[in-house]
Amino acid sequence: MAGAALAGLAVWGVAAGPWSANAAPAEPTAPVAQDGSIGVLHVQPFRLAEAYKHLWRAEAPRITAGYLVVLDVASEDFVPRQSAEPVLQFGAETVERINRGDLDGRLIGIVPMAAGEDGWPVSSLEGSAPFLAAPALPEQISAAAAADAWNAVVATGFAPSAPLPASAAGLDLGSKDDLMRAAAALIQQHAPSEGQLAESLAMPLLRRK
Amino acid sequence: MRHLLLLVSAACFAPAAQAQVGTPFCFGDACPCGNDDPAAGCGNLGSDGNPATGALLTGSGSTDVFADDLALTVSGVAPSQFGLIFMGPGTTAPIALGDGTLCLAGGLFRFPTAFSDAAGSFTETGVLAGANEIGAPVAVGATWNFQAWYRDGGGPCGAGSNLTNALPVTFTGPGSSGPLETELAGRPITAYPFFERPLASNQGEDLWVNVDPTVFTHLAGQSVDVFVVASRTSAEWDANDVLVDVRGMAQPFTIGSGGVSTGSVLIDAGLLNGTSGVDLGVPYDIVVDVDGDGLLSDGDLIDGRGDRPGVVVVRDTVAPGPYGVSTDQYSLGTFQQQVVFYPSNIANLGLLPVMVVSHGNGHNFQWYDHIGNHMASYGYVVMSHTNNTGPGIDAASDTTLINTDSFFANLDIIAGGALENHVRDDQLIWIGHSRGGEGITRAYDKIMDGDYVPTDYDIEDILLMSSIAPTTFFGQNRSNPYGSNYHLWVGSSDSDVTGFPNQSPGQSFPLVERGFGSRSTTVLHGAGHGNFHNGGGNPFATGPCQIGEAATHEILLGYLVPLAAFYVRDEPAGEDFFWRQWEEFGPIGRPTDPCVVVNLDYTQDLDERLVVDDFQTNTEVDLSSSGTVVSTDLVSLEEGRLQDLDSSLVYNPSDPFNGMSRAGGNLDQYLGIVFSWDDPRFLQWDLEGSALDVRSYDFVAFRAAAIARHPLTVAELGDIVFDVTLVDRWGNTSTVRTGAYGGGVEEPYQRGGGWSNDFEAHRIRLTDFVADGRNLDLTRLAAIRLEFAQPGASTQGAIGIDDLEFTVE
Repeated sequence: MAGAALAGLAVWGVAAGPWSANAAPAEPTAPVAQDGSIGVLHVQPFRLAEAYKHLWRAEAPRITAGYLVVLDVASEDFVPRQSAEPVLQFGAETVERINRGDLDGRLIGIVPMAAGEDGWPVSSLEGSAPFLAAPALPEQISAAAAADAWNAVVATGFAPSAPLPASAAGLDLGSKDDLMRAAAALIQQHAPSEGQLAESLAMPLLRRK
Repeated sequence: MRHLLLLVSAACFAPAAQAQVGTPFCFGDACPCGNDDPAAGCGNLGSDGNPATGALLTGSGSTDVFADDLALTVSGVAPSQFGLIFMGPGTTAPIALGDGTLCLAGGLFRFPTAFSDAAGSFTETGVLAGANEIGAPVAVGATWNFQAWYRDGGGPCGAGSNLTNALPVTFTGPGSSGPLETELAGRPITAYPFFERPLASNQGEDLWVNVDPTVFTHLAGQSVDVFVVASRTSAEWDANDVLVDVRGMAQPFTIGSGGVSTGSVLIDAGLLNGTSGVDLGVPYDIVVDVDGDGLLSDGDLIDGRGDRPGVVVVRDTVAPGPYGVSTDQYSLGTFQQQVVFYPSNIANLGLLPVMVVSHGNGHNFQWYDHIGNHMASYGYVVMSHTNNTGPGIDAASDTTLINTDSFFANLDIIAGGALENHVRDDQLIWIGHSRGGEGITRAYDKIMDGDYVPTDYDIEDILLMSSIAPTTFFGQNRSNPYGSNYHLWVGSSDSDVTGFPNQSPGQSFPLVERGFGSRSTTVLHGAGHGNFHNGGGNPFATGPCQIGEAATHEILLGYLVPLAAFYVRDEPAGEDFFWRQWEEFGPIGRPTDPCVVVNLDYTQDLDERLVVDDFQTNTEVDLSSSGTVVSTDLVSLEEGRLQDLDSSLVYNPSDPFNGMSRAGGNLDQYLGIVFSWDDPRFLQWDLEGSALDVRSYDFVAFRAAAIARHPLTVAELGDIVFDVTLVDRWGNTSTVRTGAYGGGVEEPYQRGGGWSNDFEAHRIRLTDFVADGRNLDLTRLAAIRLEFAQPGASTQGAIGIDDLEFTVE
């Protein structure tokens, strides 16, 4: 077996000898987009009758309201990796990513928001913007840390590249399952390369008759 | 000489024990100071402080000279006293000696000194091997008498010593106490020990039997009949001793009179069937019918007399199993989308094991149908589910837990109810990829900690976890396989979970080191992260000789079948796939591209091994973890944490553990040794008491890895081989070279930037050390010595070693 890997050097056209490079392969460090380059294509408020846990934050708050958003992203920043990825935030809120985003440059996400008395998000997304914070596991990012990250970005003079689009009609839904089906429709529309994901999200629930 | 050769073979015989051997005499009568004890030797201080009771010598095992399983036990001695057993051909009327009486006469031969344990006992095993070494070779039919002398300070007569009763033993011929169980099936090899005796043999390959005439000296030159019998359990052999050869008739064979190779005969030219149902293989027992009576009887040789078969002819595990496969995709809720694969004929099958697949970040639950289809064709129900990996490992682990429960809870509606009453909730396998690979260990950890209580299964029902290129975000307190059966896949070309020492979450090996159950690792050189699923896209692979998705899947599927068969279906032949070197054995349909290199590592449950040195304690280089002396003339030996200390994989003399990535977490303290050589050197571990009886073990084993980018690794650039020498207390030695069975310590995968060092399992069968006429007393091993740069071996190298131990098969 001694020659196997060496033989491969020739097969794959690697000119240099073994261990020619000293550095490790590049750590999956997507550039931290804090320059307003993430566009917002779609904003749609929702309210749910049934709360669910937003697991993309350490506190895992139970939410019943927020925004479905479609973001225009640089594909290379959103190639899924197993190691820590830059945390996607919308202002001070951690965003729940629904799809990969890299295949079509469109990321569909959920921005959680406190609910007002009427059940709809208590505030709009005006004045905030999406950006990529430092790589981490989102479930380890506290609300305070997320707010700090946003404040730090604001302090650099960061400004959205364009105003937010007008909000689409609100989604008055029952549960997270319904919300994911709505997200599936957005995936079909904006990220058709991820149709397999959209189809699985849109599958009707298996129920006993 | 005949007896000597018989005696060294003791370890390859599983004796038929007898309750009592010999009729004791010389009880305490007319003792020196009235300290009579009619039930033992003369009264002593002993372990009970009662001068009316003495020490007792008893014999157990058998009198078979080949078995050498006679055990002489002295009891009733004070703790921590030294004593010894002696033997003589004659007897005499009791003669006062110390506080006791001597009853043996003629030339007396003394066994080595022993010390009584806390209970006041000591035992001499390997009696015949020992007798030979002390100048009293035992002949068949001879009667020898045994008695023991021991220190007894404070004894009743004040002499300070005493004697036990005596015991006569008449020794009988080989096989006199039943058939001799030994390893017979295997294949010839070119290097010593000249014959390998594994359990598994691939279907279509030649299968041989070897009766080593230097071990079975009484059979040298004898004509026998060789039977290949459909495997029977021990109880079935008890009930039926009629030999029926599956080939149609027995095979006559005359055992040679020379070396081990003269005892070999081809018994199958690849015609034996290895394909039956969903089984990994077809088990057979091998019988050498010495007396030609067509029955399994005294003196015959058998490989497979117990419940374990003699040999298993193994099917091609890369090829699909016998069942057609049906599938169903459905949703039980958010992050509970699932796809299930099951045998199409499940209605006609019983209860089937369940395999749950948890994908990685950015992956899709529909990307594992290669696993689903393959394993379902072998009678498993495979469910792959959406996995919430984006938030992190906790979220992923929750998804695995919830999906497993929801699957069991909805069997009546999944696939139209086809699975109901056909799924076992007590035979569960978890497979996870990347973040999902860590997620399953986190899930297991949560159950262990009581943070999650499954509804439909228990932690004991998780019979196997297998992580594919897992991350290691969490430390050992959170992601830990504990005592589970845990398996790890690693692709050496992985550019996502890179394995680099400065990229802690990207190191997979700490997970397998954290466990303490049965653990195995399969490293695929040239495989990228994305090659393990079938979703296409970026393979996340870098480096030379990339093997691609097709070859990766052939290896993955080819090894999953034996992995599951071993842990779930208790098919012992699966274990061979965990450690036998890729160069000599593996799935029949495995890729043959020379770029494909697979390294296998395997550590058994702690209760299945005797650790000589795991380096976790006594961290001085001259002291083993078992407390024995380690000696060497290596000048570069370092013992320490198996972790590269800096962020570079460039060789650095001040970072001798360069390339190791076994202990990435703060609490990961997994230790081993590293060293190098470029001229003849040795490294020796003394064994406990310098007289360790290892006959209850099958192998001497260790893990070894070439040190990435060490100048001597680069200079050698090939499989590294060296010698493993066992030394007995009499000074006899026997050596087996690590590459004797194929392969060696594999060179590291030469990715740009290098790669983590891959540990590889090395096991050498203990009986191989006594083949071909070698004299070694396996009942009294004194040391294990590794010898480097011996003629014909690698002249140079740099390796790491961990877990030197004796193991069972």
